[in-house]
This record gives sequence, structure tokens and C-alpha cells, in this order.
Amino acid sequence: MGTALKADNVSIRYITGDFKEIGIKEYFVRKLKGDYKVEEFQAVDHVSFELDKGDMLGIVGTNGAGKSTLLKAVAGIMEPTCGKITCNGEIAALLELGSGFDGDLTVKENAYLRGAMLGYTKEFMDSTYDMIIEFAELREFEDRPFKQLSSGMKSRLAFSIASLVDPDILILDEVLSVGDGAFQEKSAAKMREIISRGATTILVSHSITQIRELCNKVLWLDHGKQVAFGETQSICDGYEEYLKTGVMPQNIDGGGYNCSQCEPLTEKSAQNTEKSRISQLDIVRVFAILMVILIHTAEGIYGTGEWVPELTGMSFIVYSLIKLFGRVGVPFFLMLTGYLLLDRDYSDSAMTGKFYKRRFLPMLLACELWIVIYWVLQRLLFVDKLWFGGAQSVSTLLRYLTFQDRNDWQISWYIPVLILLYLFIPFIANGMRSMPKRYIAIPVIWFSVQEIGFWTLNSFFSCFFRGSYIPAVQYLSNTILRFRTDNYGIIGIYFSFALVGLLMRKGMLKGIGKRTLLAAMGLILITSVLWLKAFFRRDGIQYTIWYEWAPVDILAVVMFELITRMKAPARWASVAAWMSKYGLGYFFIHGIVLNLLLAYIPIRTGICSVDTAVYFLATFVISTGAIFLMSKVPVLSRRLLLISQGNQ
Amino acid sequence: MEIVQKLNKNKFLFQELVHRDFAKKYKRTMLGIAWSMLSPLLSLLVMRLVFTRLLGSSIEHYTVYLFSGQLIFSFFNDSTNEGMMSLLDNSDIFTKVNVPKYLFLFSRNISSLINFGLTMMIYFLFVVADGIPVTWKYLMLLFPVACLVIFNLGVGLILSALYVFFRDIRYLYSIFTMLLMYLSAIFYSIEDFPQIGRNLFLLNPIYLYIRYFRKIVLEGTVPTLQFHLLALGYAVAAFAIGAFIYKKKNHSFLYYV
Repeated sequence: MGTALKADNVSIRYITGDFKEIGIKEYFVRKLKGDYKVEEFQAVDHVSFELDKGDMLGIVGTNGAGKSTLLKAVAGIMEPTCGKITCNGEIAALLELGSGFDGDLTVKENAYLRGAMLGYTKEFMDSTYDMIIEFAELREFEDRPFKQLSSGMKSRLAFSIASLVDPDILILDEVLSVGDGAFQEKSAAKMREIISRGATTILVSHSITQIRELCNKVLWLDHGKQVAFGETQSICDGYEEYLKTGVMPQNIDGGGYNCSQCEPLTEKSAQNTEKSRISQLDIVRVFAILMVILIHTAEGIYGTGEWVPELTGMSFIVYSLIKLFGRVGVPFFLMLTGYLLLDRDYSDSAMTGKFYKRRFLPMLLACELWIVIYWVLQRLLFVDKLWFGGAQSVSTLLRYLTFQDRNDWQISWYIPVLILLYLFIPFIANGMRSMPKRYIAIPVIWFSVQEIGFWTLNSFFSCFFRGSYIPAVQYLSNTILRFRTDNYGIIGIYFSFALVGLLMRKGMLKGIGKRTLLAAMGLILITSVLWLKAFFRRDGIQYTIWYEWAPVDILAVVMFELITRMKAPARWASVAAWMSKYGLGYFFIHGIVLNLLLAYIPIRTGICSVDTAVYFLATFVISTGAIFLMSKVPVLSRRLLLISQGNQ
Repeated sequence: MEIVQKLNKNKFLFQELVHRDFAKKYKRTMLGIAWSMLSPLLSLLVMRLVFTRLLGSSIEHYTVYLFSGQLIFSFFNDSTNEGMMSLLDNSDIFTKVNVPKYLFLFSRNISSLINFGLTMMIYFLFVVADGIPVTWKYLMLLFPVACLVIFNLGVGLILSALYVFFRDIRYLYSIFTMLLMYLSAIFYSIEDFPQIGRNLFLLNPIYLYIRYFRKIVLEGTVPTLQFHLLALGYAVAAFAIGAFIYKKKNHSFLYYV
């Protein structure tokens, strides 16, 4: 006598109120109103039982106890959200006899259809059809449309077809009460015959007498939880007692809310996730550093403007990917700033004062100092190098220091943006402090739409309309929105990145799975490469990948989210921490190193991608070395490097 | 293989479902199955009138040209639209009885396939009547038909799954098919477009299959190997995505009916 059926901690959970159920409009409405809540309902809560071959199980319980749901799980129609069901043998489930019939077909056709659904073969149906019709007493009606039958007739037919099953495991959900008195006797006898053939049976019934008569084991469920499982006599007594008095027996087991296998619906460990995300930011910063170095190397090797070589095939793909990933660096830095600094409370003037003293001023001084250093180097070393514009006079230096001009060290456009951002961080943070996520998103959307939207669409359309950018769009963005081609636009978009960082801190992308993000990333890469291939050179206008290009921005957000969810091994974590400590130092130093290399060390193999890799590695290694040395040399140099530490 | 065993087990059920779908489709209609032949003929007539008399198209063998496009497109349209509803319409079956859910889609597709077969016979009548020579190459037409069947199944899988979760897919899809119809070069020729535009048409699988038909019937040439691979690729991709969705969401369907 082996085990025929084993249910092990079976749970079935319904989820209500989620996006799929309520639809997009209701989703947004609820999110705006703030009462979007996904609720879970445990229909069956960690029920376990075991049946031997030939056992007859009766399931009792008040309405809504989860009996039918449990049967559906055993029949294989529903999959348990937790736990497992193992069956040995074929299962036939008679859950709702009246289902599966089609009103327009004839009785005979319906009989065949229902038989097919129960798993009978055509030969079987052919041979037993007469028996079925006789048992149901429907011989005269066999060619009539099914809907012309009365409900009693329909049930008789259904039962008649179903009674021919011969499975190893039989499931009956309140089927022994169909038809009139005479038919009920016939059907009860038929069922007893089936059961006596040795099938393991599960029976749900409200008639306790029937259960006492037929079953040797009983399972009692109440609101999804298992009250008792075992011998018929005692449990039936207990159940009848409960029905009369409403008093439960003492030994209610089941209901494992702390079941380790169950996936929690809501993140109870939000705290831990937040902490681990912040430690992952070191990796984000390292990534940002690497990407910035990459993009500058690429621009130095591949050149900008008209010097970009004609690329085809694989080398084009490599170029596109280098440029795409490279541009992610600056958005990363900005998002980091937003993530770490915008979530703080600056309402207290002491806090604000501390911020300006400890973060803003060192940042400003460091930036100014670096500008001076560049100017000095420029003057001393590169007098006749074309890229660096020759010797710069002191008046030019003053213009640089006041951010009225930018020198060409490939990084200087970013500094005034950063300074401006830092200047306004307390105000922005205070303004955003009490705003729920949805309002913070508004300026992001505003800037994104006009910068990304217009710019992207503009370039896109220009390639179809051969040549110049569409005047109308240009006009719109220049006059009505005033934000194209001048610094305000750039500042707007970078400001948005910081806000996006804040939104990420508040868990903007929390609900989106890792696989979806990875798929999105893959999709962006493919679309971007194809887009670039199609529109790279159109009538002399070369398509530049800049920060306002939508794929770059979306890629930055997706990658940021993915990296913060990664788990870096401990070894890398400490290296990353060290590197990210000097993040901004890297930013300043790599410019010098890279330009020196490009100017004085001509390692040109002729293959741009190889050159890029070589220069990239060389720049990275030398910069790291320089930073290492400077960190060992006291005070001033360390001050220069350590600005980024304020970000923590 | 396990899946072949499963299919065998459900063969009878599949036959019964096909029988049921077919019987229901033409219940109480006057013309019955003749309607499936009459409807494409009538729309073909309308199109021909419009495009030759009113808009003045000058393509050779225009009727057959038009019919090729019409044939393929209506097969796709009917198949996917019927398929989209298949899962939800049978909701009271699969919530009570444990049957493989993709059978419902497959059975609906069979009836569309039969319709397509009948229409194709009429198509060949037109081909012969128009004086176009029938060569052995016509046997190759089985290839796009097979691809199209797989493609329809794939799209049907995707749509029926989505329809259970998001009922408005139905309306979105009808607009999408309208767009697709205009972009499939059914009643115009792509010769008027520049090369890059012509290449973009290849992104439309329906256009691809129509082009295959036209190439064999009207031009008498067998398309290149890349063409074959692309046609097959679309079909396989659609089917793979559909199968993946069904596999993942198989147990969620009944919560949303």
C-alpha cells in the first residue's frame, strides 16, 4: 500500500489590487491618491496530508474554507504558491459537472466533447455512448441542442459521462447530490461501485452522514487553515460540535506565516536593502570613473566631428557601444550626487551651514585649484600643442576661474554645472523633502521631455528630411521653451539627473525585476546601434551621442539600478571603496594623463578599438598610480583629492 | 518526446474542439461554409474596383496581385483575431478541467486554416483564369504557408495570453492590424519607394509572405535563401515568444478570467 497522494505545506495565495487587475488608469489614480495597495489573500494556508492507495478522504469545512481551491490544486488546475503536491497515478477531477458544455451543439456532440475533456479516447466513447445515454435516460433528446434540456437533465448527462472514469485518484466536489431522488440513488450506487474499484478518492460534501458512511479519513479546513486531519469518527464529532456551538477544538495547526519557502509579498527587509544599496554606490562611482575615462579616450582616438573614420560592421558596433557606455559616466556622477545628498534634511540652518562649509566650499576651492593647475601645466608644457590652445595669459586664467570660458581639457564644462548643483542642493532638497515621489518626477519629466524629446526627435526627423534640423522644432525649443543649445538646457538636464538620483533613493524602480532591467538594457543597446547605423552620417551632418540622447539617459538609469542591486564580492568591495574615495580626483587627473599620452606617446596600431583599449588602460593605471602617490603625500594634495568623500 | 506524448493523449479532445469551433462558427448563417469563400471574393472585388477605376493603379495582373495580398492578410487577420479570444472564451473549461491551454488556440487556428485552404483554391482559379502559367515552383508555396501557420500560432499565443490580462488589447490590436494592412503593400507597389524604404518593408512579416507568393506566382522566381531564412525566422521567433509567455504564465491565467 504505497502513498497515492501527498500534500506538503500547500498554500494558494490570491493577489488583488495589482496593476494587472485594476488597469492603467486606476493604477495612476491610486498612485496619485496614495492608496495603491496590493493585497494578498491566503485561500489555502500550508495544508499537509498524506493518503494511501484506496483511502477515501472527506474534506469538511464551512463555506470559504478553501476546499474547492485545494481540490483544484490537487487536480493540477492551480499551482500552489508554496508547497508541493505529489501524486502517484492518473487523476480524474469532477469539480463542476455542468461545465464544458456548449449550448449550441447537440446532446450527442456535447457528450463526446465532455468525454474528450475527461480524457476518454474516441473508441471508448464510441463503445460506451449507448450506455451513457441510457443511464442518463436521454435517448429521445440525443439530437436536440443542449440548451433545450432542463437543468436536471444536464446534470444527469454530466454525471453519466463522468461516472465512466477509472482513475487512480478520483476527486469529487459535491457531485453526489444531483438530480431527483431516483437518480440520486442510482448515482450514489454508481459512485460506490467506482470507489470500490480501489481508487483513492477525495470527497467534498456538506453532508456529514455521507462522509461518516463513506470516508476513512477526514480533513477539516477553516478559512484556509488546517484544523485537523485524521480518523473519521473523532473529527466528524468535533466538526458537528463546532457547527452547533461555534467552538473550535484546541489543536489548530497550520498557518505558517513565517514559512521560509514563501516569498514575502512586501519587502520587510527594506532597511537592509537600503544599506546594501548604499555600499554598492562605490561600485557605481568606480563605473562612473571608468566610463568617463572611456569616453574621453574614445574622443581622443576616434576624434570628434569630421575626423571620425568611416566605420563598418563590427568596428562600428564597438564604436557605438563605447560611445554609449562612455556617456553614462557623467549621468552616474550626477545621479550619485542626487542619491546621496538630496535625501538629507537641510531645514536646520546648522545642517545647511555645515553642508556649505564642509562640502560646497572644498568643492569650489578644489575645482578652482585644478583649473589653476591645468593652466600652469598648459603654460609650461604645451605651448605649441594645437589641442591646448597655446599659452594662455593671466586674464584668460581669470576668465576660467570665473567660469566664463572653458579650457579644452575635456572636463571643464562639467565643473560649473557641478558647482551650481552643489550651490542649490539644500534648497532643492528642502523643496523636495516633503514632496511625494510623483511631484519630484515632474521637473525630471519636464526637462527630459524637452531636452531628450526634442533633441532626439529633431535628429530623427532631420535624417528623414535630408539635411538640416526641422525649423519648426528648432524654433519651438529655442523660443517657446528657450532651452536648446545654451547652458540653461544643459543645466536643466543635469539637474534632472540629480533628481532622478533622489527618486532612485526613494525606490522609484523598486518594483521592476532584474530580468526586466537586463532585457531593457539589451533592447536599448540593440536599438541604439541600429539607430546610429541608420543615421550616423546624413549629408555631412554627423550624429553625436550626447547626454540628451534618450538611449544614453535610459541606459544610465537602468544600469544605475542594476549595479546597486548587484552583490560585489568582498575583495572588490574594498578596492572599489578606495577608488571611489578619490572619485573626483580621478576625474581631474585623468584629463592630464590622457592628454599627455595622446600628445606624446603615439601608440597607433591603426585599429581604433585597440588603440582605445590601450590608451584607456594606460590612462587608468597611471591615474591610479598618481592618486596613490598623492594620497601618500601630505595635506594639500590630499585635500585636492578628497572632495568626493564629502558625498558619503 | 514528452510533448508528442501529450499531444497524442489529447488528440481526441483536439478533434472535438475543432469540430465544435467549426459547428459554432456557421450556426444559423444562411450561407454557412460558403461564406468563407464568398467573403474574400467580395472584398477583392471592392478593392479591385476602387484601385483600378477610382485610383488608377497600373500594376500588371492586378487582380492576382491584389488577391495574393488579400489572401495572406486575411488569413493572418482571422487567425490571430480568433486566436486572441480563444483562451478567454474557453475559460469555463480550463478553470474546471485540467487540459493543456494551448489546445484551444490550435483548434481555432485549424478552422482558419481550412478557410484559407478554400480561399486559396479560388485564388488558383483566378491565377489560371488570368493566364499566368502554373509551374512546379508553385509547390514551394507550401513553405510560406507553413511559416505563416507557425507565425499565426505564435502571435495567437502572445495575444491570447495578453487578452486574458489586458482586455483592451483587442482594440489596440484592431488598430494595429489596420496599420499593418496599409503597410503590407497589398494594393500598391513598393517600386515607388527609395531603397532604404524598400528595405524597411522587410520588417513586416506579412509583407514578406505576400512577397513570396507574388514572386512565385507573378514573377516565376524562387526567392533567395536569405528570404527563406528571414521568413522562417519571423515565424520561429513569434512562436518562441508565445510559447515562453504561455509557459511562464500558465498558472496565472485562471486568476484573471
